[in-house]
Amino acid sequence: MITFQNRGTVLESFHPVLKMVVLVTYCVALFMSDDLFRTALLLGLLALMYIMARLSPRRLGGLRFIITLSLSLVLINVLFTRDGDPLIKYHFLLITREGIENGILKASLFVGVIFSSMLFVSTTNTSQFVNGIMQIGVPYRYAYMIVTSMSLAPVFQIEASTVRNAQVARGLRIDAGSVGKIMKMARFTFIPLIMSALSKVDSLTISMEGRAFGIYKKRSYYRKCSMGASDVVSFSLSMAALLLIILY
Amino acid sequence: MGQDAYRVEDRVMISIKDFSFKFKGSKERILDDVTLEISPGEFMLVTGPSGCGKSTLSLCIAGFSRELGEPEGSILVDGKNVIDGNVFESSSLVGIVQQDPESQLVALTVEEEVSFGPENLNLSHDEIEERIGWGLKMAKADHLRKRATYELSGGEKQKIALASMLAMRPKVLIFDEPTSNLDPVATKEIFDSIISLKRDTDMTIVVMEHKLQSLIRYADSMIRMEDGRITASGSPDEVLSTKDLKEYGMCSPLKGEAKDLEMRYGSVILEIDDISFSYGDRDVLKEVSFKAREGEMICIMGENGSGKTTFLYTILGFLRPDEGSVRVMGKEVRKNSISSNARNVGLVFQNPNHQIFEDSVEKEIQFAARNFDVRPPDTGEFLERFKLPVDKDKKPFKLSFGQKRRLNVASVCSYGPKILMLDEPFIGQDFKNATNLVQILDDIRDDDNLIMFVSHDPRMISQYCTRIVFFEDGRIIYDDSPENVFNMMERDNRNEFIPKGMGECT
Repeated sequence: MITFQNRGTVLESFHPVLKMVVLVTYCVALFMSDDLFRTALLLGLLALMYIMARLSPRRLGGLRFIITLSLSLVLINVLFTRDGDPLIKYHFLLITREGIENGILKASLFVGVIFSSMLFVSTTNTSQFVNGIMQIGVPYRYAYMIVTSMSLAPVFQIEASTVRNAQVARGLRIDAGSVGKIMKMARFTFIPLIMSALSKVDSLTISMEGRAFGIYKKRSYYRKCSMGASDVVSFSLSMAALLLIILY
Repeated sequence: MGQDAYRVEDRVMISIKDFSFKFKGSKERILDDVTLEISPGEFMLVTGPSGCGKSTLSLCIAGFSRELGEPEGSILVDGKNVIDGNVFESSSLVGIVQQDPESQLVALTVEEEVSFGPENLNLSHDEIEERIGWGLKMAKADHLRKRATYELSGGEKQKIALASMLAMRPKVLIFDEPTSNLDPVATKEIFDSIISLKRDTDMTIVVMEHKLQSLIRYADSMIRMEDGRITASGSPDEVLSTKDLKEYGMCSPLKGEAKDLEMRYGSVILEIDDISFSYGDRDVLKEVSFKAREGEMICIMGENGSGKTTFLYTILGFLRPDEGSVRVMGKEVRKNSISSNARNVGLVFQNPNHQIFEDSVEKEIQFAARNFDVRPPDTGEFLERFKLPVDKDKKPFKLSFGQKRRLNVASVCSYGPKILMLDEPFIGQDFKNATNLVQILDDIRDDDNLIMFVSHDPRMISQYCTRIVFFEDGRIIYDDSPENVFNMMERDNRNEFIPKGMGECT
């Protein structure tokens, strides 16, 4: 699971809400980019961020899946794009320059969005992020939905593993292949997990309301998420770089 | 603000008069005509079988009655009507530490968890800081302040839940079976915190517990509840005299009671030779060797993280040892798939809800048998054998906790595994349900099966187990009859694992 890793780098100290704005802008820039040069610049920028964060994509997990899916995207575009300058033509096979470019652009878009999001999660303390969005005016009741789901995520991960073990221990074959069997397997997994989640909701509600959650429209914060001059400078530089790439 | 906040005042702290309660949409009264008074600073123990209304009573005292159902009568806490007021008004009066440590934590770090309540009260930074410090100190959890909540053990989580409630500065603190999911070491730590609160503050403390031994001498009063009513109240001695000590789990095992079944044991069906297992750099099992025969009932004990569950998982093949071998009925476990190992080894997991897959009791009983292509058992016969007086079409999730647990065992037994393993089967079960279950296990053992369960429940271990295997830091350090193991524990000062009581079981 991708989680925040405190490495003491500059990216971790960057204001989480501003970091989120930069992430969204970056993804929009990737979607808007329609040539290989701009896309390469955007991916280069992302690589630079990874170096600054002292993170290797390999250590974040799921790399094989991302590479496989990216190559599939390239292949599908190469094989099925019929427009553009033909480069290879053999019977039904037609490979065009546009097909190759489309494939690379779409795979780059996929890789860029996934890796930029992974970078955000790995360099952002969830609590600080939630504090940040609450302190800029997002109602804390909504913000706490993120916190509670994040705090229960590891619990449900362990429970899902226990449910799968319980299935195997009772002779349920997980390698069963037909669609019907897969549906059945999903049912056998989700029913216990949903029942377990429902049983936790009552305790969680009692715990939160029993500690006056929701008593006032505003609440105080023990940890402030303040915005300093360095945040403003970093934000301005990042946005300027992205706008430059998009507009020119 | 420190302990001075809890100045004893010369009046009643909790006053409950003619109080009855039923949940929304239900006709059944969960609490029936309850009348009770608790003084400021009083420490009250509440006992009674599962489903008797203890937890509901605690929720009603905390002001949740109107939100959850239909209350009748009155409850005043520190002179305030908590039935008609909102929950928020009660939150600074009453705090509840609940049973499940996992589901009552809302934040990602300990500091955020403890500051959560004071932040909701819109307090200043300095006030929050002071409350965090005080709450953690009283819960003996200062050292956990900078930790992430998801990294904590069950006992540590429960301490943080306590610290979080203390940070609200309640006048009344209710503990609703706070140790039922904890091992004896963590249980002792929570009890120590409760005893410190009793000693160092004038807070009114109400503890709902089955494990009374460690707390009873500190309690000022005690009530026993049955079927939503208070059936006994007074000093702990007065209440204990109303029932057999065994029903309170308050008796010590009879000396020499450990079953001498040596002559009845069959052949060795489980052999473990020198296995070691590690998660990354952490060694969880270290050179463990073990043998077990048909007809044995073995209890596996040890602190959380000592290797008990990993041990069970290697027997079924979920985990493969780094070194050594595990043989079940003469077959090497690592050479077979988990499914084929499971044909001989049944495993019942800790939480009943994680292992109920079907939508009727009958289908659930037959689930595993059908997966293994074994002829399913007769449902009626199984319902009787596993003490499940319910309709075969009833939805399993609607059963009581104890019934669900017995259904789990029935489902595993449907295909007749030779070895039956259970992880903490008695957790959250009252004496009656636990006894029902252990008697079923004893019957299964009588059919020349091997039973192994992880438990720390002295009531069940001392009377039904033929042997205790005790893990510490990944090694088996005791493996003998219950009587001998308890003697060795006493010698080695592992007192929290030894059953204590006020008299011998009869």
